[in-house]
Amino acid sequence: MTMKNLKYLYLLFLTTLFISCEDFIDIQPQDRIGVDNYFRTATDIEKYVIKYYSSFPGHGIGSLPASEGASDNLILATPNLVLNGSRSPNTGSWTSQWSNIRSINILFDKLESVEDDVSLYSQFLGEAYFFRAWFYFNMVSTYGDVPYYASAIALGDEDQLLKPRDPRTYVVDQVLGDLDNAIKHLGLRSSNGNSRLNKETALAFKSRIALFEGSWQKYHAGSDFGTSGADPNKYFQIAVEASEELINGTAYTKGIYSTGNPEKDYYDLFGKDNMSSIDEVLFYRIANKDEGLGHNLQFSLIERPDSKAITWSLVSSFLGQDGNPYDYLALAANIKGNSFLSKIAEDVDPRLKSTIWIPGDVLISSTDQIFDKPFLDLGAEGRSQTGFQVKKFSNPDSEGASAGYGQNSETGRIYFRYAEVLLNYAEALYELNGSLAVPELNSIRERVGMPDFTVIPQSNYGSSLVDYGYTISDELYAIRNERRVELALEGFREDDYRRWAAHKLFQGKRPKGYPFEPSDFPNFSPDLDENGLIDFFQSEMTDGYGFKEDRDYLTSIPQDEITLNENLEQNPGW
Amino acid sequence: MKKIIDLMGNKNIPGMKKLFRIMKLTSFFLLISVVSVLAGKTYSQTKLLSLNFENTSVREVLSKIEDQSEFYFMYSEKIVDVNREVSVNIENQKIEKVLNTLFTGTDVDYTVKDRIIVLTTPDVFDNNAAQVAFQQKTVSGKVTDTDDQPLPGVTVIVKGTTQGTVTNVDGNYSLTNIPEDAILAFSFVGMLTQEVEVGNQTTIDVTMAVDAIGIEEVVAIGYGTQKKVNITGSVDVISAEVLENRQATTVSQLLQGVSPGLTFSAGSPGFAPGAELGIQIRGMGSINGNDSPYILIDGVPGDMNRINPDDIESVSVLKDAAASAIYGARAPYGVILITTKSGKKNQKFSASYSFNLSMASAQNLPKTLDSYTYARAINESGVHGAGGQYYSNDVVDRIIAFQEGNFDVIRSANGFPDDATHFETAPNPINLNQWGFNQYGNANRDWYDEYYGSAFNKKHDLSFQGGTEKASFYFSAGYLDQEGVLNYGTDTYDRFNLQGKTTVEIADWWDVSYQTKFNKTTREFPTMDSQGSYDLIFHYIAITAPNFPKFDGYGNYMLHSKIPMIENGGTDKSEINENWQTLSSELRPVKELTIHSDFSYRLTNQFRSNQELTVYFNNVDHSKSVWGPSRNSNITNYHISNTYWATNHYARYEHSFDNIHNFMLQAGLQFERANNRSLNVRKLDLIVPQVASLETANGDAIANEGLLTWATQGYFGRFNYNYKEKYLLESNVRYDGTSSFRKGKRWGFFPSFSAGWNVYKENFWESSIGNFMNTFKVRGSWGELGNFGNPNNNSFPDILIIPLSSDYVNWIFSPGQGRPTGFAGTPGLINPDLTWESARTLNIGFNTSFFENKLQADFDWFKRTTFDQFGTVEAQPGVIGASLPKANNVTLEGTGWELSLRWNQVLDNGFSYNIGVNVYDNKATIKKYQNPTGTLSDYYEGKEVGEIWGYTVNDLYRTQEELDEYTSRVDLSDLTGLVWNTGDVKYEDITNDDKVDNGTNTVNDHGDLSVIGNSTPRYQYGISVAANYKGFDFSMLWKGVGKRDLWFNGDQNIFWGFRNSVQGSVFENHLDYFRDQEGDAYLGLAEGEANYNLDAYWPRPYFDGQHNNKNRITNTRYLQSGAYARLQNVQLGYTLSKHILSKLNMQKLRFYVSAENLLTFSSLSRGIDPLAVGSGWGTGKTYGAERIISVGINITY
Repeated sequence: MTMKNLKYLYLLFLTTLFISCEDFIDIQPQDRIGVDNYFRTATDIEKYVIKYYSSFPGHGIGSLPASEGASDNLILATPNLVLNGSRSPNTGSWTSQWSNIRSINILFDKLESVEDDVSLYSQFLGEAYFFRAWFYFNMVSTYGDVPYYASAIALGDEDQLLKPRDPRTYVVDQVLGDLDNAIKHLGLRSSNGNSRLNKETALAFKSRIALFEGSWQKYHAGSDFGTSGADPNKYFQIAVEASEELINGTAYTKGIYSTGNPEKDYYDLFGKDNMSSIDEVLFYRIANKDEGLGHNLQFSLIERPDSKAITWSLVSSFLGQDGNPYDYLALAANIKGNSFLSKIAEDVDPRLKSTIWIPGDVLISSTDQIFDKPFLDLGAEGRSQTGFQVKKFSNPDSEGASAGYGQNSETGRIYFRYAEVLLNYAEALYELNGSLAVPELNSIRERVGMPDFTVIPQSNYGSSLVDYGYTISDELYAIRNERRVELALEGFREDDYRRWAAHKLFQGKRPKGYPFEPSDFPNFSPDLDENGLIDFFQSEMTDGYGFKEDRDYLTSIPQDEITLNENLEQNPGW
Repeated sequence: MKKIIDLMGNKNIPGMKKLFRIMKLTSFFLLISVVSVLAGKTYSQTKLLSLNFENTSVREVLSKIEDQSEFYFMYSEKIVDVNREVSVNIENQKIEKVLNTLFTGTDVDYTVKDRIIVLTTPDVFDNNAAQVAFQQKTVSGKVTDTDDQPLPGVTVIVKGTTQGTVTNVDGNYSLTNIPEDAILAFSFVGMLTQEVEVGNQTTIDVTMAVDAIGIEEVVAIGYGTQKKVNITGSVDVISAEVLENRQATTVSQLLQGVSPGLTFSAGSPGFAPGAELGIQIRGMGSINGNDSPYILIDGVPGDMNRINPDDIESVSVLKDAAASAIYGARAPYGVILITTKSGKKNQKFSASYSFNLSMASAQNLPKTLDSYTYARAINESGVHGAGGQYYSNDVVDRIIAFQEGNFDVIRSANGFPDDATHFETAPNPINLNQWGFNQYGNANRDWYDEYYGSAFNKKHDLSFQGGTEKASFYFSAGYLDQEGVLNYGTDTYDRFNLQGKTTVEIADWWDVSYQTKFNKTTREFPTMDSQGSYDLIFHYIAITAPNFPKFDGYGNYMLHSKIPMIENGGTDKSEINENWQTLSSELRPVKELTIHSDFSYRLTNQFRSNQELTVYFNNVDHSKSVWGPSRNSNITNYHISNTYWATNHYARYEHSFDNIHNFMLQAGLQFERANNRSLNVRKLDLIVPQVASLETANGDAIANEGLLTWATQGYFGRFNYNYKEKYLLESNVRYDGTSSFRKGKRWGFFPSFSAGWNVYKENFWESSIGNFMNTFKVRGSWGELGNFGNPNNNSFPDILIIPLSSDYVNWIFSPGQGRPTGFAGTPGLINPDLTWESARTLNIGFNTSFFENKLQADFDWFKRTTFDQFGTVEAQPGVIGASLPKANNVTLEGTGWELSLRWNQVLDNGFSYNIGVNVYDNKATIKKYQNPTGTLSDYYEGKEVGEIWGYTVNDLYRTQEELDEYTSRVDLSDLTGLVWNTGDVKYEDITNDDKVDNGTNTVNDHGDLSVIGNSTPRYQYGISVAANYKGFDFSMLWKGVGKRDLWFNGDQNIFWGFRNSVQGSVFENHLDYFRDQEGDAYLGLAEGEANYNLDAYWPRPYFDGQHNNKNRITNTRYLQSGAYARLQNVQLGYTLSKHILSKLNMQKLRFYVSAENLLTFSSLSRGIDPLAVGSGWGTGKTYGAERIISVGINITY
């Protein structure tokens, strides 16, 4: 072929290029699939559901005890914004708070496409119901009434998007319905273990929600936070039934952890790494630093309280060892500082010395480091400013105790334990019909060697009496007090004062510390009140917590949302 | 520099065209000055030559003579037969003897004027005008330039004939046999052509003016080249000179300041080794961020930062739609065309080598405090309701003792071991087996001084180029070795470039070129054991307080110095190998028709190894412990492989009707396809950190894969017409399809039109204002382009993808078991109808020159409207529960202007200089956006991009009375529920409604908020100055921003100083904070009332984020100016004279010293670079522009 001919061949080639079709740019995904091809097998459902486990809170930087900073049990470096009524209205949107709800609703929408038999994915379906209940309960607890959706909302579905809020009673009923389904589908703890959701946990959660809702409806009745059609007893009844099912059901694994050592058992329960064989722990999170799932809890309890400090109010609610009220204030007039701590440790409910550090306690076993006095005078990070320093959840024997800063702690985080169910039961039962669940309450006290539960007249409490802002019976006072002591720092107190409408517990008051003894700290002088108690917020909060009872029980709905959906009503006071 | 200059200047000689293309005005001046400097010497009388050739062409011999000497030959191939073969054998003879030998027996005559030798024949040129032998009319004369210097080598042609000649070294010419109605045309590259009617004249002297626009200057445009004079779009050309001998490592850094219209942004790593800057042409084009220009390197899209700046011949910046329309859907935000160097046919072989050694050091570092001052300031910040003292009195006492050298105090600390040798800290009182850190340290260190040092960097470049009659080549190799300035950690970048280009003329109608490029870049930086990204280092340095110990009691590095993490925590090493091959052909089957075809293939392989190694610390009892946050040593290896191929085919037909109507038609097509594959595997538990591989790790393997293929298909055309190069018209069209959208939404059509008028070519011009205004061109363009975003990110919008992950779930179901792996995420919301976004640009501009072209001015005004941009669909109630999908519903309009002024002058004494100034401004406004309520937290219609909304603040509360008066009257509860103190910021109630609030935070109801500034850089400018004199050259380049506002959020500790906990950084400039209480030895800056500082700049500091933040809500008082001016480069060089070089047998030898970023003027706090303002870790937490001082040498043989 001559060069000249080459020219024409080349031109022919170019012409063919122009006659090409669109196939060249019609390309399909190579490494991903559409939703329509998913949700076929039980495994698909499991893989979709297990991601939600990560949304349970962890134990980092002492998150469990620190969460009580939103209550009268604990303070942090600055007054809590909610208790002090100093929140500003939320701006922006709440999209992220609905993302898990949308996510799980997609699963429910797609259940029809599953080809496997339901028996193969019963557990995962149970988990899905549990999670949806968990997500919605958080919304109700935060905002009160919220619009309820049982399936994912499509773009442009204005009926759904612009829906007004559903009454909390309705939403809670849906949540309880989901929990019934969860109870039905979840496996027993005996087969699932207690780090995977199980029937027992779902029952416990049901009792928690029902008690919350029953008391909310009862104590907020008539206020801006009340709901029309409120029927507290319906929920108390549900709480009682769910608790009784767990208490009486023989298939369930549950119990109160006890090795027969009343001085230590209660303390040991919370500091363990492996809780899988503890019947009391219905559901917990396993920590493991090798897996990147360690946390900072021990460091925070042992070395760096970071201004977490327990209040006088919590400490003075512990009864004396004889089961009677203890006059802390009278003691404080004479005995102060370290001696005060040592004295009350001897005199009162042993759960107190499991909850706060007492001089002489071992901080770190491996180096024999002893707690000699509270970290009052250290810098803000190292300090515990009331003298009542958090001890609960610590474990001086654990590796995390000596390891210093970092994700070294492997202490499990308990989400549900049986003692809570007993306390839920006792309270709900009393609220429902005035009966006392004495055996249940005694089983809790037994572990720590306290005398049997008795009802003490409120007049006997003296200076330790707390004010709920309204009159309650001596029985209920005793039940609530037992709850406060047993569940201290486990994150219940905030919900408790809210459902009890009990802002008077702290409103207008300042949280106090222990009676300060200058000879313990020659170089340091904190602010003290007229009784010689540490008064950390004396200058910052002269009038005490400024909680606004007509506003602060609920969080404001973000500004943008109300603009976008005129049917959404803002919460009272905001 | 040495060339055989073909005096005919014939446009049909291919080499000539290319030569002229690269001949910039400056080099022309240089040539002229060389000629004039050399004139008058007797080089020809002294220089001896030796030649030995058998049957070699005269051309070759002349070329060899040039190689051996400084002689230049000037001749026309039409009159001198240089293809004649000769044999010469000469030893040490003068040039005249050589020439006699060469031209014996021919009629070639020669004139030697020192180094310039003009070859002529009696036919056309008689050196001696007295010897006129014919009857015909003879015209002679002298051609000079505007400085009255004779111009040799000017082509003089009798118009309409082939008859002509060239001027000799004295600028003289003579033509015989000239009819009276003849018109003589005088032309010379870089000069304005002149035509003179002969009439009855016999002597015609001509003065030629420099043509500033460069009549023959040809610039690279999309799919071709065009004479600059005929361009109707907005195109800016950057010559290689501004990129040469610079020390900034990557091309994107080097482009700062050299062209108007470019906006630069630094990423999180700032100016770290190998840093790449983001570039926008004419500002923000898209609210989605993918508005960077389309970058083509020799016609193939690629990463400009991986190529060697020394290989670049020129850079064209195509700014408007007319200029970039032919790229259709890829180039809505402009195009940067990078052309690399090539050899030229008939080019003498040359070899160049450059070496540069530079020293880099940090600049503008914050001034840190001594630890005692620091501790007292921090303690004071804690007492105002913000949690009390941070440093206990005991620790402050130790800090004082340490500074006084009184180590006994430290020795007496509880648990201090007897065998300790260092006293920067004592054992932690709570855990006596650990050394105290944070609030327990008592050291006194300037951590900036500790961390920052200097780095030595090296750069080598080698290139060979040349050509024969049928082939040309360019080969180059470059190596760059860069280190970061930090004293700790591995922080390096190196780059290796190899390039080869050859062009072969297979037939006189067919050229084939082959080009290959290999780029290898390696970047390695510390991972800090998984604690965070690279820029975390700068956060660490900033928050390491002066009292933090560097050494524990035994002299081991303390963990809290962060040194062990940086040094021992492992590195992330990325090696990118890029291999390009391009085969192209240019076919000229018939006259005026060119068919171009190319095929390019690029393979990019990235190997990345990320190691996170366990970090240990030392205990007081000499044992070691694993630092908590430290991971089990692990490794993740990534292998990312991208293949890309593209093929372009286009035909161009040009035709001219009598040089009056000039047409060009071009049509072509393009196909591209890319295949991206990534595979990464992570394994825990490296057996030994020294051998980091997947094989030597014990853990389970977690593997992830990514696969993506995308393709585009495009057809394009261009029509171009001009009437006598006076009226210019052009239109481009492109029809593009992409795989990124679904069927029915994937094709787009993009047209553009432009027109220009070379007003100065009109007849009236010369007679009216042509004297001082030499040229004037107006032009306008309109066009539309598309954008399908980054194809890698934006695929399959019509499929609701379920995100599958093979990673761990953060949960363990049973003790002793690992985490489960693999889970399915939640699908997002989609909009299947997503399609192109489009940009419509209107551009009006002019180019003009004055004062004999000494002053040139270019101006452009533009409006770019980007519509159908991806925005979110209309805001939806949050119950939707997912981020909203994109829709084509945003319109953004950018308007602005660019002005470029250049002044060039050569003085009689040979001093030449030029000054260039370019200014550019741009602002962008949202014209359409789905935000019906006009909420300020999002874009809204009418919003000027960059707007900063804030409160008005004039002052702090200086007294309690002032505070009480104001807070009792004005409700501030919308700002914070926290208590207000003296020294806090007083937010003004500008609406006089007795409350300070943001209304509903919408445009129509914004309460006391107002627009207080704008963060868009405005009035960006570049200034360049260059001068040459007697071998010395000097240049400098400034880049600046005229106006910009910046707001730094409350947690930006480098700006604000105090923060919370250990996240603060109190520097010298933060000490002017409000103080109204007495100080003592432990808190406050002075004891007693001397501590008062009531007229402070900064508000009362707190040791608590919430409290501080109430004083840091966006406001006027603390709004900062981001305006700056930076001396990007200043360079002083000396080039040895030819005279000396000839003895060294060299063509060029230049020494220089150069500095990058020598000076920066900015009002920002120390520690904040005005371009690399911050990173993901916050303001100032990045690698600022370093000052680089360097020396270098360029050698050419």
